[in-house]
Amino acid sequence: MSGVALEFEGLGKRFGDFAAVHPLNLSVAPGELLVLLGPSGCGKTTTLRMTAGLEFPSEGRILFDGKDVTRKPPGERDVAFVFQLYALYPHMTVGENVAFPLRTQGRSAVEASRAASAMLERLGLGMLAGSKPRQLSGADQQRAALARALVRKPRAFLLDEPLNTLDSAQREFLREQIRELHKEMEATTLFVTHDQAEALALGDRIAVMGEGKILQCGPPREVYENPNSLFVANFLGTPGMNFLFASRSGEAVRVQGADWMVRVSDLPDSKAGLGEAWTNKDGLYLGIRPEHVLLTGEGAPCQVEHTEMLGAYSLVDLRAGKVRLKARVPGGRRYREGDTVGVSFHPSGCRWFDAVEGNALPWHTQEVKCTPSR
Amino acid sequence: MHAFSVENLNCSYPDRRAGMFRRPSADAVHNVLSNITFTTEPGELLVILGEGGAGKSTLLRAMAGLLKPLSGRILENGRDITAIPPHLRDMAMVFQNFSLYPRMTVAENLAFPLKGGSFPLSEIQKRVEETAGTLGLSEKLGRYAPELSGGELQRVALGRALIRKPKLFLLDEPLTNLDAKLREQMQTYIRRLQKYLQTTLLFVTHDAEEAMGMADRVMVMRKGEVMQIAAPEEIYRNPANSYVAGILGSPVINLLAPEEASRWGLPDNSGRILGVRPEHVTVTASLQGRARVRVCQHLGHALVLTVERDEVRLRALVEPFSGLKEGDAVDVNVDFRNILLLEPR
Repeated sequence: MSGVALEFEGLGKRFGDFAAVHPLNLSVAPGELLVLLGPSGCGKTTTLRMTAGLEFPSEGRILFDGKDVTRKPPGERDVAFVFQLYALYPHMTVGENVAFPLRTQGRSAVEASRAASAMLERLGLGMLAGSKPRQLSGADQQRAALARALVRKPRAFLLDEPLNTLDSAQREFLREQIRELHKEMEATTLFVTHDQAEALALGDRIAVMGEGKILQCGPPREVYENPNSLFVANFLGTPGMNFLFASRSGEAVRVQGADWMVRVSDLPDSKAGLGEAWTNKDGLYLGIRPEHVLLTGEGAPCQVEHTEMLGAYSLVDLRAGKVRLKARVPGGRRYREGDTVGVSFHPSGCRWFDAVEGNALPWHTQEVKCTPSR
Repeated sequence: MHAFSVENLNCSYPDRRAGMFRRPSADAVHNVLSNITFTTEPGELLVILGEGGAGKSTLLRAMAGLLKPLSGRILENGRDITAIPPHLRDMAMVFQNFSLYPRMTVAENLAFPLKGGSFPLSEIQKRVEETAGTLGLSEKLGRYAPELSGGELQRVALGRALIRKPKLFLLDEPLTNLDAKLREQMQTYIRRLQKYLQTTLLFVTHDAEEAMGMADRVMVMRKGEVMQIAAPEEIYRNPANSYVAGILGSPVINLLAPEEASRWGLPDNSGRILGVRPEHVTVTASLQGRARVRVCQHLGHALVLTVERDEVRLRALVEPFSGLKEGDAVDVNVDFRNILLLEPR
């Protein structure tokens, strides 16, 4: 079974004067899992509800395999919607709940219950088919709700923060299962979440949303490694990217508050086109992910404030003057509180942002040298 | 600084079915804590980690004197304080939801617990400034509560609880309601303030990552029993049993039953469970590989692969640029030196 090709053309939604979703264009390939990621109020759920037909768009079109479904009622779109809260029928057993959508499609009782038990078995719920929803744990109820959505093999799945109410261990487990099921069934899926870890783990692509707009859309690795703005850079990753406020000083960059210089080998020349953003602005941010902060004997001196030992790796809180940084180091290494270490940055991990506009500057950094400025 | 010990502490709640007028019989009692024994080190941040129903909050309430234990003792510097009422114990307890006085400024809110005590005004002012400084609130002292952001409110509430400098802080899941970014920030502030005041702090959480990140030592509890108490690194490297191994660490450790282990050519060790941390599994692309990548999940800084061979699955933590994807044939190697042999729990 292959999923539908989804397409949004200038899709927008206003509630009175408020634009919940600014007109956006997006296409989702058949069988793709696209995550809509953003903080609450960014328009991700509204977009999902428009796709399902639960909300009519104010402008634009929704196409399923090239056919306009913008004005079609939900029942004619053949999509399955999974809500944050399980929404199982409390008076039916788990098996009956899962068989229900097939019965409404007019399949025979025998056929429906056979398909339902196969699906429950697949999700590891075989033993619980005869139980009532309230007898199940939260994670099992959510899995039953997924089974009910999956069993009728719709053309698209729409999931609205389905793992939100679960604790972190169950979330990790169910995340893996959803990803595997998706690969098996190849149904086109839109997955809404505000949890960046979930988005990275699940998505074939991630669309990061903010204030009703899609800010960046791409595969997890690309969005994580090459964010196009401060907002996206800050939203992805725990702990987040370190931002150092900096300004140009000759052929190097001076980090404010720490008395550091960062020498960058290919600092754009002010005469070159790229350099304009540089000379006209008040300053910029150097963004660097914790895994690209290198602790060496050389580099700029920093004090270790605390080491969080997280198992496979540790997070080291560093401080130099008013600047605070986090570094991610392999688990075996130890740093004592109060120690002074030299800090440098992996050149390929340096990202530059315009401090005023917030957009990423397309500079590549060949070499970095952190030195005390005095 | 003060050292607290708990000796053979047993606590129970009467069974609800026992009814109002019937005394609970011995077997109608639900044992919440059984034989808890531990000692805090002066000035340490001890995190109590466990799932719901582990008895973490009950233990905290017993320490605060809000709950009378069935048996056992609580000692402060060797002195038995089990019978001392809560208000004479000089402990501060912070719950999941805390609130501020809306008509007071930040400074007034912070100073409130010190008012009516024997503190001179200059001492009150000094402590308010110190506390605000460690919590990054120095510039907000004149603001009223409704003018603050969510994170600032939480910090003021925390400062107000801690400003009294009690002998022991008890924090019961104070960060559960916060979003991820704010939680990370608050963890840093709590730890910084605690290290500054050098007061022993017991912190209850069900979040293993929070526990490992904040703690000097972690105490893992399950069903009213202490499973292990040690520094985060020690617990991660040498977990006491398969339960402790499974609760700490993300991605979750691979736990293999003896027959599964032997299918992978790993040593089969007399009924014990084999624990393999995902970072000790290496995966390499190979056309002749007997294992398959089933699931591939991004973490940003790394990739988690679920690989399968002979119907046994392992999770591996690999570099993000490995380029592996679902369906790929791979070779899998387990680092033998880092296999854990665990008692099943």
